Amino acid sequence: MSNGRMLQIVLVALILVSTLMLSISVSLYYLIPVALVASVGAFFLTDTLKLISIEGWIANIASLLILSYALFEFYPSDSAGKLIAVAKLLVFLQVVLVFQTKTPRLNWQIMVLSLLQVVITTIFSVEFESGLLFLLFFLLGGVALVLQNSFAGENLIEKRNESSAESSHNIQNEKSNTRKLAFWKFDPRPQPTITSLDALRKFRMSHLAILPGVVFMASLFTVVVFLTAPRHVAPWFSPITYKVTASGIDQEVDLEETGRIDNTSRRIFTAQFHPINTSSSDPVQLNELPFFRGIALSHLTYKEGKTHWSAPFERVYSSTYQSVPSIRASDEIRFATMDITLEKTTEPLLYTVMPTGVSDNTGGELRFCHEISAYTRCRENDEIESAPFEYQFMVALSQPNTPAVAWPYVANTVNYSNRPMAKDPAQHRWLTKIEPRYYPTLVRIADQIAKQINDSDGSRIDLVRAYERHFLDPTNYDYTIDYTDIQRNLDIDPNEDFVANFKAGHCVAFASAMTLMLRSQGVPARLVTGFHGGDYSDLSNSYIVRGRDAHAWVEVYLPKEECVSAGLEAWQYGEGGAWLRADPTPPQPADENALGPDGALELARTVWQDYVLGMENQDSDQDETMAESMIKFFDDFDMEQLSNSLERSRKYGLLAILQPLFVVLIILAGIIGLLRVLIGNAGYEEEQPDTTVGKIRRFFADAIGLISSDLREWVIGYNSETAFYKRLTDILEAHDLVRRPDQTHREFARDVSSNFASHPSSKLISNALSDITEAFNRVRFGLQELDSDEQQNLDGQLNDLERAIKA
Amino acid sequence: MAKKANSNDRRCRLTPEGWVYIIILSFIAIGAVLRNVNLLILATGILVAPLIFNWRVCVANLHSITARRVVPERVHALSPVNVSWTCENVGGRLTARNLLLQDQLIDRKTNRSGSSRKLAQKVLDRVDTVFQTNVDEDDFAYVCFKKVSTADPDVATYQCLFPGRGKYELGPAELKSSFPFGLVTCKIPLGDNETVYVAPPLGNLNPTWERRINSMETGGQSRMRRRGLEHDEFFGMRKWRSGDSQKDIHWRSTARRGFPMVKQFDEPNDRDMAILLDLCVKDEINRLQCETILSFAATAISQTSADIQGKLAVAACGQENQIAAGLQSHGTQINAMSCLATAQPGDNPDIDAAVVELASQVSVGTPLYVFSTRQKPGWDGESSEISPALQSILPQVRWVEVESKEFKELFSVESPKSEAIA
Repeated sequence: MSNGRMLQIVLVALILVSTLMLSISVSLYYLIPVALVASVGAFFLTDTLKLISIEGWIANIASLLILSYALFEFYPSDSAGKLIAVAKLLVFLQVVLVFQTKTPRLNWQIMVLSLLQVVITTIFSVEFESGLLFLLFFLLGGVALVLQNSFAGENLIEKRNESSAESSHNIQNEKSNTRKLAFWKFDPRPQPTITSLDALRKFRMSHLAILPGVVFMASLFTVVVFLTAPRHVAPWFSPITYKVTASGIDQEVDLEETGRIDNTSRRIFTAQFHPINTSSSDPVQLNELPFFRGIALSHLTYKEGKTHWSAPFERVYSSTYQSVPSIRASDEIRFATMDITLEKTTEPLLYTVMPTGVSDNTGGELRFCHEISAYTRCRENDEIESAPFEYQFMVALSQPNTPAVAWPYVANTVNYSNRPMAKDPAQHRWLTKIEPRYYPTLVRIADQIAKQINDSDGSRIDLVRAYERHFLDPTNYDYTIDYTDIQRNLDIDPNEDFVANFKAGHCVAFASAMTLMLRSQGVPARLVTGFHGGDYSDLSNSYIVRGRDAHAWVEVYLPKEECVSAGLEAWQYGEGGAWLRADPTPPQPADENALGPDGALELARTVWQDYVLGMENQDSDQDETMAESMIKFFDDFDMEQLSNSLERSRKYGLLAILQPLFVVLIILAGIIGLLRVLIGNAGYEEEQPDTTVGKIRRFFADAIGLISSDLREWVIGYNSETAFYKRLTDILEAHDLVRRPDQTHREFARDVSSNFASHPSSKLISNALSDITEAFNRVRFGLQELDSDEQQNLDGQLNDLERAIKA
Repeated sequence: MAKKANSNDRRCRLTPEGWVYIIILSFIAIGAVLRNVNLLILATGILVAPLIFNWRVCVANLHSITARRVVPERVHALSPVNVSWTCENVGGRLTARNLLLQDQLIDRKTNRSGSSRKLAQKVLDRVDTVFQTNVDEDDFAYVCFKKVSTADPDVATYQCLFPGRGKYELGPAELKSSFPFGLVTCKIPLGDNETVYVAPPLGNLNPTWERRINSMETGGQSRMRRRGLEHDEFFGMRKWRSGDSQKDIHWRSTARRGFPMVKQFDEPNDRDMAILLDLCVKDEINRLQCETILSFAATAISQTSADIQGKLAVAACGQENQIAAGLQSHGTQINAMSCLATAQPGDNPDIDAAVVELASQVSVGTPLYVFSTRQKPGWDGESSEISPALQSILPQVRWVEVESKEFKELFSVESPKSEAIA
């Protein structure tokens, strides 16, 4: 196979990989067939069969049209839309390019477009699988560059062959003999005609043997850059501080499930808990699986005689939340800040994950993701395309000895915010709304249980726990997500059907039924959707919440007096009381929560997510700019810390101190290497000492020479241009003549000359000293070089001087 | 010419692709830092490595490279010439790969000159230095060494066609490496220029000329000495020429060598051959005639001088008189060809002096063939303008006008099929 053909194949692969990544990242899947058809089609039609080749001017016009279309899309879009427009532009421009005759420059343009596609991909999100493609892209890119390098040489020779062969052919084919001899009449320049390309065109695998070295070096540089690059913490689509004015969604639950509910293992978000009021801010694993409270479905309506729970576009203002820090009174862990990272998802419950409080470090403002807010308000059913997003909110933690878990009072409508439920008949009516005629069995059972509690003078919380126990009793109900074989009576309400007939269901069925039971007894209650549980990752110290962790439970309103009698602590309720959480759903079978056969892949995904995409520079603070980081670095630097590090290194080994030094050294070497290529001058004239030691010495001398040329000389010794002066000082030093620090070189020379004023060869010594010093000054400070004659002359003078002084 | 790469002459530059690469890399690095996109930070690290790696590999590639150009000693215009380069990697640590050698071909006569041109050239050179725009300049020939191991040298050849005779220069040559990624290129100059004398193009020599040369021994009488013919013996073999009898073809040698060989019955002799070219030019037609004469001389030297065992003397009489003479040898032929390569026609050549000088180079009695663009001058015996020396030589002078029928019987410009002279 020829080198050029191999390059074309690699380019096709490169295009496909980059477009695949881009398409997945921006969710424009139609780009994949576009790129596939274009690249493979061009490979056969343009490169192999040579049937189609777009002329340059046509390509330019097409590119302009594509650019115009991209601009049309670009300007009206938001930040994500702008990048998507650019992404499409890149793909379509690439399509135009691949249908042209391939030249090295064209190949280069194709590769650049691919690289830019990957850049845009990384700005969006790259999951683990795409991360593999990311690495594959760079590997293919390396191969393509090696092949391109060979192809460029071939192409150069081929073009040369074509042009000169044509002119040579013209010369040799002159019909007239006289014309043939009249060479001065036509181009008299010699024509290189043919350089054989057969051997050059052959693809050589050995040329790719260089790649492992590149991979090693790339890994090294990547690690160094990754660990040391100063990073501003705000990502492209950052969870910016956004004053929330409105948020909410029309959310309903399906009470008439049929078939099997899809229990996906797709990540929805990851959450990390940091305790407040403790000395350590390390993430913690909670004693119980956390509840990620979503939206409360308190609105009960009946359509065709059947129950519908919904949250009709609830407007949630920041003022509707009680300020969590203001009610935090205990030193124990009551609240934790929770960092949430949202993955891409179409999960509707995502929208319900909303902040519950204002944390200390948000400056009194709710930290809320602008993009999510926008999606929530405008594109409820759209996929969240630009992930991951990170944001933070406060969450209440349950305590082992706390009898009930209650959420601080949070009203769910703007009209009733911060108003005690007991004093608000309208809200009370709303939260106790029920049509008992639709649920005869359900109400009957509720009444029976309530009667038992009333007979024993039980409180409202006892009633709640009694209903909980009723649903949790395995002899009464079964948990299932598979409704396939359940015979449902579609003529009655699904809640009544659940309680009276099939007695099996999933969390929503249990929560809905219990909410109705509570309401049937005049207890304000609401159905809450959200997430419960998640897989705790020891690697990232965070909970990975997946689709299968979606959950529904019940919140029961407790007036303030009930909160006191129920033993709730003061922080758990307000003037208006509290909402008590009750979860009537039996535990799910354990095997359904297992990672399953894709555990290794999940682990890889976790590592990729947490250590590649999610890893932040440990030293960077959330709100620091790069400049602030730099200032902070210098502010934080103190000798005491350094001495502590040294002490630690003595105790625990040298690794702790050597590691940063090694990193600094590598960075320094990299910077110097770049400087030598770029700044030192583009046409850097390489000077290599003959020995390896000499090279190393020269390298570090050049490096340190960027700081000071004196230091450079100190490192490199005097074996360089000023070696002759070193020899002079050695000769004089042998006679106890040493230059004082306050003396210039010229003064030193004059001083020495005066010392030898009575010497028989005083004139020779004086002249030699003067010449050598002047030469040294020229070289050392004038940055001039000595030619070989001057060097020889100086050596001769030094020899004479040495002999004269000895004499 | 052979020269080891001098590290002080080595120059590393970013290629245009390298500059683009740097710009993209900077964009990615800045974006990575400012926007905290970890994957862009990874990409930065991944992209920096090839740049540094490319630079070091380029330097290592050229570290111990020696290159030598070999040009055939005899070069004729309009005949493709193979110029070969031998590249060695003695003492290197790595196998050098993908080396591109750029050789420059300069015609001395048309070399650009003039101050304004120089200024323009300086500007163009500067542009070229930065952007390397003149990669397809006509004056350059390229060869590529795919692999030069430390054990085996590599040889690469390019063909070159010189459109006219003259003095040319090959060089300066440059060896470049941008292996493996083409982002950084490193180049070293390869020694001094090499002068190439390009002889006039070869034409077709008719057998008449051979017969005439063979008859020179007896003062122009045509008598071929064919010793051994009766005994079915022959002296040697030579290539077949137009006019040779098919009966003389030696088929076994022809089959072995791949081209027709004929038996040569002529006994070697020690006769001399003297050719004088009177390159008198008055107009464009004369100039073409001069080139024809020169082409004839080159062909004659090339094809028949092997039959001459004595002295070979060739003189070109134009703007100045040039003469190449000596015992028939390869060196003498080369000198003669160089003389023909650089001969410049003049409007008033000093033919008298040239004839005398040429005659002094060969044995007495050797016919002096003068090929001229003009008629024979009036060399009357009584003319007081003729020197005694010339007077004594005149009987040996055979004057042939280029426009004469005689010349046309001797030579035609149409050459046999060109073959590369290796």
